[in-house]
Amino acid sequence: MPTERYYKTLLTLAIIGLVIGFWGVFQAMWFGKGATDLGSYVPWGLWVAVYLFFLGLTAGAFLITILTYVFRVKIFAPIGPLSAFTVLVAISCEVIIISFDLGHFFRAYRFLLSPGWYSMIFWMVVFTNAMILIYLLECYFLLREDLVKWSQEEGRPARGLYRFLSFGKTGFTEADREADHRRVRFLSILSLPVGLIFYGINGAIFAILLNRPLWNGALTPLLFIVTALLSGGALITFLTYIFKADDELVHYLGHVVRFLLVVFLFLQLLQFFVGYRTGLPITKASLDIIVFGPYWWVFWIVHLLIGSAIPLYLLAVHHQNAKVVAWACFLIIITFIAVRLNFVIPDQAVYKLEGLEATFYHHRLRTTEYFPNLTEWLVSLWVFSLGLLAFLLGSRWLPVISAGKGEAKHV
Amino acid sequence: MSKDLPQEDLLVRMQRDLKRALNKKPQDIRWGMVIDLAKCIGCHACTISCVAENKLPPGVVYRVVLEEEVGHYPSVRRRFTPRPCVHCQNPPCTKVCPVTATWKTEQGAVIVDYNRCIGCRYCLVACPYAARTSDFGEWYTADTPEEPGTLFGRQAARDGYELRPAAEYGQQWPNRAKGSSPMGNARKCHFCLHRLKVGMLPACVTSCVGRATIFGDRTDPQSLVFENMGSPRIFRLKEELGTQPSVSYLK
Amino acid sequence: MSKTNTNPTQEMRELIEAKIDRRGFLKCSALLGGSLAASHYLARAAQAMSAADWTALDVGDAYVHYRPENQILSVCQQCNTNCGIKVKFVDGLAAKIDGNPYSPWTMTPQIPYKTPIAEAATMEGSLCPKGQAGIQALYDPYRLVKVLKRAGKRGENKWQTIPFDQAITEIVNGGNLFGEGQVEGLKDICLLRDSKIAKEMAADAELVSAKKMELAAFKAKHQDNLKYLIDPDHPDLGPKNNQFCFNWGRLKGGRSDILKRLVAALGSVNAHGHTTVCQGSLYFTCKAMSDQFVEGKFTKGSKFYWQADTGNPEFILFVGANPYEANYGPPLRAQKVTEGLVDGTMRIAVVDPRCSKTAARAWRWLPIKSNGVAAVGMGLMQWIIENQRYDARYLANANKAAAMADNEPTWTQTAWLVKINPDGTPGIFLRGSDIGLPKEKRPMKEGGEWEFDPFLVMKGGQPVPFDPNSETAAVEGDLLVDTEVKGHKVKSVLQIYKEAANAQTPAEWTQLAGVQERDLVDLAREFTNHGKRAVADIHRGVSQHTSGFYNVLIFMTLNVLLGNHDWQGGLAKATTYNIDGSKEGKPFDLITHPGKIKTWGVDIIRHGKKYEKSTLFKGYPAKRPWYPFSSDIYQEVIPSMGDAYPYPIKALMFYQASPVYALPAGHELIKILSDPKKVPLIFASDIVIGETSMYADYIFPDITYLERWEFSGSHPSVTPKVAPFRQPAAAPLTDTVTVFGEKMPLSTESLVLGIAEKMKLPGFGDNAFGPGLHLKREEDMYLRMVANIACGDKPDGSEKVPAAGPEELKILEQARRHLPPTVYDAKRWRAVVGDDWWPQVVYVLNRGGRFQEYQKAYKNGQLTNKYGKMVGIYMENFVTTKNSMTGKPYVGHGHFMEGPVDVLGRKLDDEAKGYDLTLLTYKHITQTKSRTPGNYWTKAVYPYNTIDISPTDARRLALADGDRVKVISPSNEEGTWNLAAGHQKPMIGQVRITEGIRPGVIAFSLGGGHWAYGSSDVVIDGVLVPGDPRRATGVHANAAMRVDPVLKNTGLVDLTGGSAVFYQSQVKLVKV
Ligand SMILES: Nc1nc2c(c(=O)[nH]1)N[C@H]1C(S)=C(S)[C@@H](COP(=O)(O)OP(=O)(O)OC[C@H]3O[C@@H](n4cnc5c(=O)[nH]c(N)nc54)[C@H](O)[C@@H]3O)O[C@H]1N2
Ligand SMILES: Nc1nc2c(c(=O)[nH]1)N[C@H]1C(S)=C(S)[C@@H](COP(=O)(O)OP(=O)(O)OC[C@H]3O[C@@H](n4cnc5c(=O)[nH]c(N)nc54)[C@H](O)[C@@H]3O)O[C@H]1N2
Ligand code: SF4
Ligand code: SF4
Ligand code: SF4
Ligand code: SF4
Ligand code: SF4
Ligand SMILES: [Mo]
Repeated sequence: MPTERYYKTLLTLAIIGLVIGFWGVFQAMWFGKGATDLGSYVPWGLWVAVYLFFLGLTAGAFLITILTYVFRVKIFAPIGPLSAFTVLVAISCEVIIISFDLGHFFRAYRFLLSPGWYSMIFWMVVFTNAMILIYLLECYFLLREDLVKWSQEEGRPARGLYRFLSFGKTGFTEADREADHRRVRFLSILSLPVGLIFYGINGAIFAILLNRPLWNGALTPLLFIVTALLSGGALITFLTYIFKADDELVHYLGHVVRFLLVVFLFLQLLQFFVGYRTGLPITKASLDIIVFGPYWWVFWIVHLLIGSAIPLYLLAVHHQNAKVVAWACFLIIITFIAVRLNFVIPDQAVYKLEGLEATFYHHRLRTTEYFPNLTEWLVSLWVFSLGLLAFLLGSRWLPVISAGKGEAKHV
Repeated sequence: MSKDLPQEDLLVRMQRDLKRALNKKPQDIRWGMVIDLAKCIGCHACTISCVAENKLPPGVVYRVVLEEEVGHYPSVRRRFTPRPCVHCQNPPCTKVCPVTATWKTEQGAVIVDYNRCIGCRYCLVACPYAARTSDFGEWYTADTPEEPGTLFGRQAARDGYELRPAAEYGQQWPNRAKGSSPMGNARKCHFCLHRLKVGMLPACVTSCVGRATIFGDRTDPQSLVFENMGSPRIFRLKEELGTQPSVSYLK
Repeated sequence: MSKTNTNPTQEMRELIEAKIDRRGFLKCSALLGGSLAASHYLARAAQAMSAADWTALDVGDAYVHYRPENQILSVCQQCNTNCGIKVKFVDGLAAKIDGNPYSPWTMTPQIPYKTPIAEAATMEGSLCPKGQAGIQALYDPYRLVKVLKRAGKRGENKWQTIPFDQAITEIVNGGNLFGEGQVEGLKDICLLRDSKIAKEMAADAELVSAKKMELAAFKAKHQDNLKYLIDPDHPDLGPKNNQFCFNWGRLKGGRSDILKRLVAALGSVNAHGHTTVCQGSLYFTCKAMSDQFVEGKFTKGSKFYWQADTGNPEFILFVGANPYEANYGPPLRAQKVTEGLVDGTMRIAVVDPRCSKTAARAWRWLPIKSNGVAAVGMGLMQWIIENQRYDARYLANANKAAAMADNEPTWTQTAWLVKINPDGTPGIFLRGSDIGLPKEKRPMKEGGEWEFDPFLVMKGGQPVPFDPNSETAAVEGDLLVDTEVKGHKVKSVLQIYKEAANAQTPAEWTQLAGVQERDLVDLAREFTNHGKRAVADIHRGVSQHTSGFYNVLIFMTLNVLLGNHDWQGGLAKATTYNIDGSKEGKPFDLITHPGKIKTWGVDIIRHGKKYEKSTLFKGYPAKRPWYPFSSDIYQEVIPSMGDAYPYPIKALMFYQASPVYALPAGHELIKILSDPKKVPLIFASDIVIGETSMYADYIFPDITYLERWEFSGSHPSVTPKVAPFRQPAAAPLTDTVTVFGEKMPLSTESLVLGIAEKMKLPGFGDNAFGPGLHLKREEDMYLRMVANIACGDKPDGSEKVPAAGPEELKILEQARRHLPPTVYDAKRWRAVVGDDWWPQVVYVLNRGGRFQEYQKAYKNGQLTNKYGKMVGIYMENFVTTKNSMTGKPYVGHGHFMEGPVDVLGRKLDDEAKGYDLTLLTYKHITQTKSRTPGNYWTKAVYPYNTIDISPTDARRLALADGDRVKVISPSNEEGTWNLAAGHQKPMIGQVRITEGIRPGVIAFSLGGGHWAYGSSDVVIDGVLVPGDPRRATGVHANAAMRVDPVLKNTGLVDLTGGSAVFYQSQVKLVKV
């Protein structure tokens, strides 16, 4: 349990973030896409990157729940509920930010009326909802016992809430417990294929596109799964450190993260190597944008140095120091937005036809002129803050921590 | 070489071709375009004509003309490549639409249903020809002065040429205002279906100063497009992608 | 700090070996597979389902452009090509502009004139991007709707809106209008209103300057009326009325008639246009070439020029002409060329220092030196004469009869004999009297007699006399003659040209031109390989030089050597239907001007008069040049006011003119215009606050080409006979005013009528055109002009157009339902022309003019609308006239002249002074001098103009693409526009490095660097109106063009053809 001070500061941060971010939200609501710096040659920008970032965060939690409830790796059991809850929060943020990116959000019902069965985005939506549903239930059944317990405790604040959530259940028998665990296991098992497809499809959204220098190719979905697990794993490790001062667990996770980081860097190396060696002009061009482009530092300093080299060093050398491990993971998480930006933008930044850069001038028709504007940053900040707030409140007002206690024996 | 008087403007010939096509069963028509680069003078009339015909807002364009300079002084040439949507017969853009708001009609025109499009811009990302642009709801008259009584002024000018959207797809779209389509939508060349319907050639064809743009039913052996598609100079953009454009070029 | 220290690797192993529940694993893998299969199946199934609504969206009926009742056919004027347009209306607003299919400008051939308009409604020809964007020139936020009066110093851009009537009153009555002291109004300037007095004084003043009457005698005779004169000591300067000057830029039929009517009624000779800024020498060379031998004089030449019958040559040599981007103009000419290039029936070559878009696809591009254009011509001429590749049969014909015998529509002077002066220079023609042949008395057309003294050619060693106009006595002559006849040294005209062409060796010509010798020979061969189906088609790049006149003469002579005039695929001229009714059998005579007074006097630009014949003659050089052979000398108008030579101007009226922006060294004009002492009263008609009208005291809002009438005439490359016109299409945006009791929009017409009404000028108001024919509204003149067109030019009326049927009459009305009664009123319109003419008038209105069938413009390989006269290439009038600056006689034939030179003929040596780059200018298809700054659509295509430079020069000057540079020149070392009232606009532009330009040359396109026209802030009624930065982009380097070192307030000029010089200024680029 984080110290009160800790909690308070984070809470205030979240609230400040919400307030400041709201200006952006207002702009986005009022002026629509016109309020962003997006264009027609770089139609996807910061918000999609942030979306992918959240997507990553969900994965770690997903990983834990799977290991715990499907493969029954006991050591993770204590953070099972926390993870499940994290997945929920992260996916919700994901959905919110991507809704902002739609030109006509209020036509979302169209997904039902005229589904595009061939569209990866359509399936992305389907599976996102599936995930939300599964994890909502899973969370509930993980927490139910404690909810019931809390609803009975005299003098516990917000008892009403727990009473409501336990739907009039006052006592909790062993049978109930068994039943819930069966349910949880079933849901987790279900979430495995659903989740895999979910992450795969998110990769596929990009992978299947023709004539795309970086996205197009079979490597992309795999890269997606690995990056997801990496960033997610890092998050969980960090959270574990914060919420359950269980260093042993942190160590384990630290190793997993280190392993994933190495794999990820290796895949990235592959991508660059193959890209440059094939020497396809567009591929070369967009790789050059990452490596030498105006935002070269995002790649070299933010991603490689702060986000990879340093954490790798820390994880390798101070692996037995939970604090260091946790902070190493923290670095990975916060710099991961850089990885996402470098995935989303450079690929679009290459003109698809020679001469486009010199005809019909408009700043939304110039790839080099895209840089996320204030609105985009503020909206992202707002969503982050929302997520953080939800998470903090949840971790305080829901038994996500306590529910983990002694879980191990059940899985 | 001997020169006879030109007997008929290509536009007249093509309009006859068009009328003939419109008498066929709709499903038997396949619209096609051939752009003769040897005739293109790089005047950009097609671009602006399209912008004017469809009242496109800033940043939205259906047909651009790419300019290149080739060779070195004094052996210099300039190449001009107009690029509408090439109306792929195997369109990467339509498959990705999550709400089937864009599709290939049976006559081979790739179109967008503004009322259905949710503005995810996946199709923009998917088009290998950058032929789709998104309507960000901008105004050409933004930042011009509004001085009622002394000058004509912004509002009047706005009402004059950009408040009312054009009748694309033969539909009457509401005046441009927050959230109203086609604002927020993906937009693209639609082969001027609204004009074809009434027996008129696409705007970029009639305005083609160099008479470089040939349009018609490419399955009609008597048509000028058909004739031109037989030329040895023919090629298509990014042929290797297998998108099978129905817009071809003559070198 | 970690509390336990277990071995990591071992932990890893545990982790991986963590025992898995078999069942669990199976379950989930099954699920995984299952869901994949499911999604696949669903996708397939879905196809069918969704297929249903794939056809959901069918094309509706909201598109209404194509209906005839939503269209008005008119004429574009975004540029001066004046293409026929079809304006389409939705909800009363102009929604789209396309090409008028009846107009030969937008289709080749255009559709038959008799095509029902309902059918034509779905057809349209092509327009250039500017034409398409015209809607944005119409609905321009910066357009004026009220009269503006300056509320600050001239050029300070502080304005107040005032009522129209007040403005007219102030202009007419004058007074202390600006708190700067008394300003004379028109009523005091245009004092002389008595036609009898005017007539007498004019006649006697003539005698005085002809030294046939003593000045004293004149003064005595007219002592009571001397007060009317500008200067009693110089009666030939004319009356004070001449101190009112009207200066226009772009002006076409109809409006020119009403405006010139005004100036005539005001009794001033000063009405001057902009021709010399445009392609002046092209006009005035061709004018001189078209002089005919009439009653003993070479005269009656018409101000016109020739162009290629663009659709039909096998080879066109474009010299300094750019029909793909500019010229007259892309829709009219480009398509005719591309068609031929692709089907292999045509070839073009382009002579231009810049690889224009026309050059981009030409068979040959010759990137010549700017000053070398004439050298190319002479090089070609030399080769052609040496190798006798000219049409000898045509050239031998000395007169009409000989030409007729050869089925040649025209004849020329190549064989004519010219007397050679002792100094070896060619003089006047050898005449019969020189060799003792008798003169012959002949009656004059206007009564009286004249003496015919025959011209001579050499034939088989014998001089043969002839009459150039004889249709019976055919005379042919030897082409190359250099001999003596009866003690006179004589040469044939061709001989004179041959010697001019041999003045340099081929190597020297190519060197001067800056091309390869091979290029010239190839070119000459190609040019002479197609008989009469090859043409040299030239424009500004040839004419706007200090040697402009002779440059043009050289290239036009090359055409003469092919004898291609009036032949299909050769040279053509413009032909139009008469509109003013001056011809016999026309319904309305709109020339008659009852009560008009005789105007006389030297005008402010001193054109059409000889310096030595005026009372101002004080030896050479004159204070400023006189222009005996050209008119509309734009660059002379304001500088002459600055120098008050020959006299000061008191009131200046601008119409659609921006000399400050348009002229080379236009910045010099600002000094004059911004000084009320130099020009006390300036009023302008403009649609916005323009670069020049910003220096006016009053600006009268005008209606644009889309709202008004104008009879746009034709261009030489249009072979059919035509009469297109603008007519009110869009509803007027300006305020409504009342003149002669009639409500009408603020416009040039209401300005003219307003002044006329206020001053009770003759020829306006009641019975202006004679009994019952009033002139109180625009249509009183314009609709009658349409009637004249409908009537045709045959006196017997056999050329009358068909009458519009009931359906067409109905459509005319419906199509104008959005027009207010201030412009259109069915009854009123009908009444103006009368019921008899109305149906014919409607027929023409509905088609945007009258157009002869394309096929009918050709007959047996020749043009139907022929020039059909003598094509002069030796100007006798020139050798008998002295240049007012040098005192030397003008040269009568085409020859190469060094350049650039000042008005005293001295070569400028700026290059030696380190100004290492020659500055050129050209036109981009999206831009014109004006109207286009607010065309935001085309801004996307061409957001700003650049300074184009070759890689070689860029490297030398260490310039990179996009670098910002300042243009400085010997006459503008600050490289800036001094806008007066403390404002400056530096000539800074972005460098664009291109292979397509000759090293040593830089070029900028027209239309950038605006400082008015909505590009910068102005104050109106105390409110600040911010400028739009989009309209201020780019650079306008005219102020870097060379100021003539002698004149000091004028750019370089061509003293013969009057051209303002655009392409011979040496400049430097300074990186900023
Ligand atoms: N887009 C556009 N079109 C226009 C107009 C416009 O404003 N904009 N204006 C109309 C009017 S008023 C006119 S007069 C015509 C003018 O029509 P053009 O005269 O055909 O066009 P310009 O661009 O003025 O000049 C023609 C060419 O001369 C070249 N040139 C420059 N210096 C030299 C030289 O020393 N020697 C040679 N051989 N060539 C040289 C230039 O590079 C340019 O390509 O265009 C008409 N059409
Ligand atoms: N650098 C450079 N300079 C050039 C040229 C070039 O190629 N390069 N080209 C030259 C040529 S070819 C020419 S012809 C001259 C032309 O030069 P001008 O004959 O002076 O014509 P504009 O510059 O068009 O001036 C037109 C003025 O009239 C106003 N105006 C526009 N439409 C209307 C209208 O409907 N009614 C009224 N009353 N006013 C109107 C405009 O606002 C502007 O102030 O420019 C010359 N200048
Ligand atoms: S060009 Fe682009 S937009 Fe047009 S059909 Fe092909 S993929 Fe779709
Ligand atoms: S932007 Fe509109 S048309 Fe394009 S994919 Fe998204 S929904 Fe479909
Ligand atoms: S066909 Fe119509 S929509 Fe397509 S480019 Fe041409 S004008 Fe524009
Ligand atoms: S209008 Fe025709 S000639 Fe002009 S750029 Fe377009 S395609 Fe080329
Ligand atoms: S060339 Fe273009 S701008 Fe000029 S008149 Fe024709 S359409 Fe109008
Ligand atoms: Mo001009």
